[in-house]
Amino acid sequence: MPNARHRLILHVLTLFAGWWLSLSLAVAAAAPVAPAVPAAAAAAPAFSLDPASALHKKAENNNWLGIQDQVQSRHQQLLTSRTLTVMLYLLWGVIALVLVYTVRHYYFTFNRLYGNQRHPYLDVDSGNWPSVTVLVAAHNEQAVIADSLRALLEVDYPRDRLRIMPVNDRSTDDTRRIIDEICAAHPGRITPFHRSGGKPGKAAALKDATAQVDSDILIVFDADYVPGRGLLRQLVAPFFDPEVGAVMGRVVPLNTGSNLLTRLLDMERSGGYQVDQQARMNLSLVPQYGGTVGGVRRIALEAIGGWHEDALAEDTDLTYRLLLSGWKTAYQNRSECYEEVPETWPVRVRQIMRWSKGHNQAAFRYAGALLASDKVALREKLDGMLLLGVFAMSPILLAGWILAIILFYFDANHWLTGVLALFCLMSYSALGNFAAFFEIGAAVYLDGSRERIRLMPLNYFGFLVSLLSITIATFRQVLFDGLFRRSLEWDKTMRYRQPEARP
Amino acid sequence: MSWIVLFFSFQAVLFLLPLLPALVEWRARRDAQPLKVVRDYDGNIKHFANRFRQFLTEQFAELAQAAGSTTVPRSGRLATGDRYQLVGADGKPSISEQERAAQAVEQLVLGTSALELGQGLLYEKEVFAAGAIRTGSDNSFRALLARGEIVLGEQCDVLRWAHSDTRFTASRRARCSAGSRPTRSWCCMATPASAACMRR
Repeated sequence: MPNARHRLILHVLTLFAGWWLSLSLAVAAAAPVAPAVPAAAAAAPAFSLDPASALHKKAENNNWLGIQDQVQSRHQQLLTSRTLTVMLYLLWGVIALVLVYTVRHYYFTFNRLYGNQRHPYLDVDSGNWPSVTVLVAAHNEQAVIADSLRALLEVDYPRDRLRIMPVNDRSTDDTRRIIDEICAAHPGRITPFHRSGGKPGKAAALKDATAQVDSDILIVFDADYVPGRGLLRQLVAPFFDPEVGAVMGRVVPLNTGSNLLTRLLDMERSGGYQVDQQARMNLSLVPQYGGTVGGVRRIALEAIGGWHEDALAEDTDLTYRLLLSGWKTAYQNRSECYEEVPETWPVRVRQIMRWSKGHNQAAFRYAGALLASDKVALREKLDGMLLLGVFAMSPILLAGWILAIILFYFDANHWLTGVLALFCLMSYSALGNFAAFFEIGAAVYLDGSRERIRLMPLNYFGFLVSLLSITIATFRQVLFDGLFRRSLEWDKTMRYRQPEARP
Repeated sequence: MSWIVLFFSFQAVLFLLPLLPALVEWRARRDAQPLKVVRDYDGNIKHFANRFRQFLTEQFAELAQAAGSTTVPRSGRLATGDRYQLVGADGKPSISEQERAAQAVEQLVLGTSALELGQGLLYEKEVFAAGAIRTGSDNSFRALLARGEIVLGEQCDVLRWAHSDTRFTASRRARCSAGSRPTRSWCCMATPASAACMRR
């Protein structure tokens, strides 16, 4: 029975691949195009599908790509032929970019499923462990800070080399009192850093706190993270490699079961870490330092000029500055730590908008330097550029959809071209744009979760929300923040855990 | 009118059909728990040895008490269905004719003191000794744990892991983890850093 089922699946897949291939070839082939005709005549086009017929319009305006690039429109009073031609080339540009990201997604996924997995620091068992300061970034974190500090007090790391430093950044709730209470209960273990003024934002707070630190390694956690006993050793182990400037662990959502959004985000996170980050580690590309559940070597941080307090995404900013200075970032997939993910759509939208602005800010700053750098390998440049462009793809993709729709309705060519274009768009949506789903599916499979994978189609709606949010954020950033020199503002993600009841 | 309603209903069904498993899972919440993060997992390569030691402590509390006793051996079956054999102070497990013919020992071998193992057998379950473990040649082991030293005979294989609290010595052509990764580090690194790892 299984063989019969496999054969059936194989047949269906073959048919599907054949259909898609023939469609692609049909689109790529020289398409019949009508020569310029008066608008009135074009309203009732006469044509024949028979190439031998006099009514069959031979391709007269194809370029070397086989792309029909002389658009004739019945609506030239609205858009000129030249405008439509430019739009057509823009659309092909969008499709080419999406294709690049599609290949990237598939490559990463196949590498993760079938390639050699690289965990070079997993077996580091004993050694002269460096001194470590754990910075716990906290801004109004009364609900979660206690759990985080208590977990850190139990970690398996030489006590004389470990310093725990909660960075209380201008909190107006009970965060300060909770930190001081725990600090008093464990004398000598915790060095609180209370910050009541200065520039807002995590990067600025970390910058001020780092000035108080003389440890070899800085490990950064957000206040909602609850590290396991062995996590610190795992995160510090890569620093025995002198080339490693930063390390990143895996983040696992804790409030997965709250609602549909958290369940979708759980799968999205899985794809990002289990497949994307680990594949980059496997391929010696550019794993990204994520700002939390990670660490940085202090001398590397000093060498690149410390934290940039104006960076909205200090993690991306740091990743690229380290890369440009020749330091490596290591990813530890098995160094897992729980976090909270947004439980409401408005919070999620604000979070993704902040990420988008921060990431784009890093792209504007470092894309040129990355391309020009002689310290970065070609494969790292390529991956680094693609990583920088991740959030720029949303407005580009949206522009592609709009262009496709405009061209579809304004194109006065052969009706078959329009239908083909529609099918082409559909197949591209199904096979290209959806490559991210392949990545998520593989990640959920690798995680060993069996039922949640059924939710995957609903991620499409989550992606649509992200697409629009990122596009809006990008436009605001480029048009308003850029033109009017508005400073980018930090927006903290909401926490959902309730503070513990106190006697 | 009714045809239009029918048409759009059909379209709606077609649209929702691929989403049906997702909608069912959304409502049924069969897999809505957070992914399990093993908070005690620390990447320690002694993890398996420690876990096995913990297992022995839980399952065979009497083994620790009877260490060095001559009243054993005895054998039995665990709740998991696996058979085990406690080996006494003579250090020689009893191998049945059937096992000798099959060249395979299908039970946990647990030595209350040192163990002296013969040759040419596949030990399909873990081997533990409260003292040292010395093996003959041509054996294959799933895993070895000893409080004393481990001396692996010639052409022996360790398929998973081996851990000695003191010293691990592998004879000529002895191999570690022939079929698993990482091949190099299992045997050598499973001993404490201060203990020697020798290859004759």
